[in-house]
Amino acid sequence: MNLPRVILGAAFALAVCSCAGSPLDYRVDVSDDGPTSIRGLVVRVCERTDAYVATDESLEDVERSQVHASIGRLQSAVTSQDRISGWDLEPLATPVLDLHDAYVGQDTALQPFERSIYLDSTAALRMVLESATRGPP
Amino acid sequence: MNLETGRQALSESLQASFQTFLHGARDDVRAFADRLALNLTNALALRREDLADEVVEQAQALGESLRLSGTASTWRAIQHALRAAFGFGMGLGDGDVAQEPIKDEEPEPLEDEPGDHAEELEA
Repeated sequence: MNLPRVILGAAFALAVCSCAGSPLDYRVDVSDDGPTSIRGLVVRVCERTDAYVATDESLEDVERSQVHASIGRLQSAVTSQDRISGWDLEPLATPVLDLHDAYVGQDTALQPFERSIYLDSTAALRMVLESATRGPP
Repeated sequence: MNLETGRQALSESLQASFQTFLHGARDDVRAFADRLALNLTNALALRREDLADEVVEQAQALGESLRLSGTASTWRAIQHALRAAFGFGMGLGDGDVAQEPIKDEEPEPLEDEPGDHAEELEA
C-alpha cells in the first residue's frame, strides 16, 4: 500500500468536501421539525393508504393485516428516528407509495384537483428516494 | 391558513431548502416547484387547508430531494477530482483500492448537476 498516496488522497477528499460545504450524507431527514423533513408527508400518505385498505372489500383479512403491517413499518421507521438511510427507506416506502397511487387513481369520489395533489405527494417522495439512493449504500 | 399565511409558509419552506441548490436544479425540478406554488394558491382559494398543508409538505420533500442531490453531486465531484489528480477513484491506494469502476466513465459536466459546487472546486 502506498501510504503517502493514501494520506494525500484522503486529505484531498476532505478538502474537496470542505470546499463543497456539504457533508456526505445520504440519510433522509425524517425529524420532527426539520425544514426539509419528509416525516409529515410520509405519515399523511400512510394514513390515507391505510384508510383505503381498511375499506377495501376485495382484500382478505390476512392480506389486509399484511398491508396494514407494511404501512405500519414505514410509519414507524419515519417517526422513530431523525434520519434514515435511503437504502433502508426505499424498500419500506415503495410498496406503500405504489399502493397509494393505485387507490387514488381508482377513487372516483376524488376531484381531479385532489387526485393531482395526492399523486404529487408520492411523486415528491419518489424524488427523495431517488436522490437518497444515488450515493453509496 | 389564509392565502398570505400559506404563501409565506411555502415561501419559507422553499427558501429554506432551495437557497443553496435551486439555482442549479433541473428543469423538471423547477417545473415541480412552480406547480406547488400554483397548487397552494388554488387549494387556499378553495379553502382546502388540508390540501394546502399537503402542498407545503411536498415542498419540504422537494427540498430534501435537492439537499440529497447536492450531496450526491458532491460525491461525484470528489470522484472526478480524485480521478483527475491521481488517476483513480475513491479507492485510495494501490492494491486495496480502486473499487469504483469510474475509469471507464466520462466525467459528467459538473456545472449541469443540481446542487453543484463546481465553482468552489475550480477555485
